[in-house]
Amino acid sequence: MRRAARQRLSVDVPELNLVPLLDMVSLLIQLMLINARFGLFAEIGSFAARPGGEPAAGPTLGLVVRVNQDGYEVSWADGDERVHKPVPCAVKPCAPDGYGQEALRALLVPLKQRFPDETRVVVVPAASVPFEALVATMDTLRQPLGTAPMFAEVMFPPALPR
Amino acid sequence: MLAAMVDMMINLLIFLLTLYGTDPIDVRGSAELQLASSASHDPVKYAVSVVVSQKAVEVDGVPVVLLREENGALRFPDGDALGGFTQALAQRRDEAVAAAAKRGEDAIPDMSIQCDRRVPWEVLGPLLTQAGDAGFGQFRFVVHGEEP
Repeated sequence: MRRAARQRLSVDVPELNLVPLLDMVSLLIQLMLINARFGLFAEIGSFAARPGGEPAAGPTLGLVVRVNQDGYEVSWADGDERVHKPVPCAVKPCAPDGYGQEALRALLVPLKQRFPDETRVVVVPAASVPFEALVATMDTLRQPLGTAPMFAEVMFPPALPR
Repeated sequence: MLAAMVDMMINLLIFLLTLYGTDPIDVRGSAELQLASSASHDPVKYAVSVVVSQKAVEVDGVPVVLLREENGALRFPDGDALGGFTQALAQRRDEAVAAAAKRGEDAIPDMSIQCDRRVPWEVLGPLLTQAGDAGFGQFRFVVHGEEP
């Protein structure tokens, strides 16, 4: 009996052939590496400005930022008057990331402090301004002041095809 | 002795699979579509997808407007340039509203826009205006973001 059991235990177990599995996984990894996206994506929200839209409650700033070829032009309501303030770029024509974003922020911070509940801003770009410059502008407008963004609701005016 | 290699490959496979599962959008970078960089770290949400590249405007992966270059500037084609875009948007809006109604929601559909960083406002502006007219509420621009 003992001899028979010892004979059964000594049977060789066949080795698992992993080569086909490795081939398949290697091909799958190559395919996924080709299609992989390693960047981190985010989004920036904005709205289309509509004439006759819902009016804001209480006094409003009526902030408008024009993005021109030679810099920003910022305007806002001060009582019954509109104040216009240019924020030119250091080098003209402006590079998309060289639009004087720091100067724009310095101008907007006191306005936000005067109107802490105001969140809306209308951005009016010139025809040839690239999207990259608009993103830099939106980033500046949405920069946090305290815990909340300065002007979270960025709106664009209607535009017609040329 | 292949067990160690199999372990490594399985780990690599799992890592790659997680990359595929995180974003609800499909961004295919190319020479014609280079996204802008931003300080935003708002996560990307699912919405009707519009891609504005240097060559064409696509709605949910289907080209609806072919752009042309004139004197180094990007232009819409002659004629009813935005007809196909408006039609495609109306269809997607109806589908999005119907899907929201099935879920018992009364939602205004949003739009996710992947726009090439060099596209000028004279091309992007009319597209946003048409989208607003078609009943889309918010435009969410997809950008290269920062870690939160």
